[in-house]
Amino acid sequence: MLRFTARRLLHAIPLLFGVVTLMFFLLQLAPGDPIQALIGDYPATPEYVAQVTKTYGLDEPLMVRYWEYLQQVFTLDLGESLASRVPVIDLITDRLGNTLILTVTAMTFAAIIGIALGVWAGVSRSRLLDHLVTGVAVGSLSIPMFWLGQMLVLIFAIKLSVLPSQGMYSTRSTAEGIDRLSDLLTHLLLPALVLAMREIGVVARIVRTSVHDVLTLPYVETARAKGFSRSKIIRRHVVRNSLLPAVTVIGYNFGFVLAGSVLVETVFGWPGMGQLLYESIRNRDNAVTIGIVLLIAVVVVVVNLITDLVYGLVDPRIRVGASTGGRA
Amino acid sequence: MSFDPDVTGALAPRGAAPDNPGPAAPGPGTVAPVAPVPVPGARLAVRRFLGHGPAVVGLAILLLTAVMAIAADWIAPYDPQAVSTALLQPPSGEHLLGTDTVGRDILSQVIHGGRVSLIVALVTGVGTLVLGALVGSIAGYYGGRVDAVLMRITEVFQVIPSFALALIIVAVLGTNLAYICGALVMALWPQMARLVRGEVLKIMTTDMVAAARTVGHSNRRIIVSDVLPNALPPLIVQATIDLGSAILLQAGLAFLGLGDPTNLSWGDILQQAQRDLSAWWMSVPAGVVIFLVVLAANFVGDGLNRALRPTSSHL
Repeated sequence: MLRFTARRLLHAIPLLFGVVTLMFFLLQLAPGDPIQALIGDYPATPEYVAQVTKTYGLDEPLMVRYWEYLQQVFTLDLGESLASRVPVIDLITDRLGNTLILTVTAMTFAAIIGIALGVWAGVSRSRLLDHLVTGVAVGSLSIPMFWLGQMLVLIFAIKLSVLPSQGMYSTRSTAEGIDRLSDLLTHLLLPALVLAMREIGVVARIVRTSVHDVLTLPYVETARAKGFSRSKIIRRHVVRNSLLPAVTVIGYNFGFVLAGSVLVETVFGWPGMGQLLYESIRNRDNAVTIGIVLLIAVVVVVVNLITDLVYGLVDPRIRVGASTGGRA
Repeated sequence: MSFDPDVTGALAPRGAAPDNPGPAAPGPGTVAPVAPVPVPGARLAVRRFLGHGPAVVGLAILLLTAVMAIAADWIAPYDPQAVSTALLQPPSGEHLLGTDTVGRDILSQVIHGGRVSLIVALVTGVGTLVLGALVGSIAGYYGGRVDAVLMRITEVFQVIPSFALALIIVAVLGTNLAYICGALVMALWPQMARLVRGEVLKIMTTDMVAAARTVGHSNRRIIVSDVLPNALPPLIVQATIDLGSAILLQAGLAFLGLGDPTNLSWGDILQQAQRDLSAWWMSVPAGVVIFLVVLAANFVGDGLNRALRPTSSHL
């Protein structure tokens, strides 16, 4: 396990370097003056331009600038927002918590609903149900997530007025304790569900397939021969063995959900990182935009690493397989 | 994610059937390396595709959208950019799908928006196929260090979620259609490259390639005329799925304000709609057409998968 961990770590580090390098060269490709690209569309005083030029060492050769950029990024210095003059890292950490509340809730929904649907379709002998789950899965991959959000707002907030459409808490709410929590939950329900939609489809499909496969294995036959009831076999043997692929896919798809939250937060006015990104795009505040995407990539690398490790811990076969090339 | 490379059955090398004028057909002046095995045969594949209901429906939707996009100038009742005094009107006889906040006709916007979506999808699909095939086949064919380096680069692009990658490229470089297509290719090629590499590795073990080597064909010639044509079926399937992904990603970008301002797309309509969601006639039609077209692309992809790769596991 130790060697496996080390190998995965050694794999993740160059990946992080690669992502930072990609971002650096993307900035170099920005049209026009790199200083203007850093400043965005703001009217800047000559002193400020000179200051930016100096801070970013824009008069230095490319490789020197690259080296400095690496140092900055790895010390979590992502520059300064040009709209608010606040360090980018502070802006992001302010919003990260809210985004995590949304994404983790969405992942939980995806796990619970996706696994339930998948098991249901997998053990059921009804072709209709099977088709239905496949249909939901394909549909969830084809529907524009933000549009689904707009439709739910239209139905539940505007037509039926049963759920709030915007924000994280009711405005002017002075509720505390349990009331405040329930206020949060009612605001959380729709965006988290929308964000979970795609993953629900993916998870349901994978669980359905793996339940199908497990049901044909000899040990299920043995359990049946021993006289265990069908529901007990499904609970004890089938579901448990079908969970691993579901949990793994949720881990590896965390990045999708994080990136998707940009859209969902914009629809629901959720005060998270996605909304910050939306504002930074509108303001052409490139330092913030790049900082957020960089953070998303880093989170993906880290979550993939954790998923790999957990998978390796749970299923020793992976550790052996990884030595011949790792995850495809 | 949606389509894993085929692992269920080792595929027999598929050459072009006699009635299939694919790139595998030896051109004049070349010696056919090995007699191709006519599996599954173009006619059989077409029959299998047409026998799959959703695929036919999907194809019909895509063709209809294409006709609508090409003929947009004649079909659309109004100029999609023409403002009028009828602001934010619900559907009526005059404006079948109502108007937006500056009085533009929504139906005309939806019809013209199809152009942008389809152009973006096609350019991105072809670009992804070409770049993915290039990187994947070189990595798979040469193996060793070349493979390791190329796959590491692929991984860097893959680890950034495709939407985030497309978004950052367009946000930094600019929002014209060419940049949008380029950004989408950058976001989607890694998966294609991995798929191609996997297929190439499989084909490399066949006698056909060994024979071509024995005859002394150059590497480039083996890749172009033996390896890639036989890897084609799964690539076509993936490219079809990518069409749908490109439309979804582009709509998302436009929704965040990263659309080409001179070419309104379906995503732009949804961005407009976000300002006042109670004006349902703006959000509903644009979203429905995106959903239908992407669903159609996925159906066609699934149908092609059944038709071209009958041994693989289905959706």
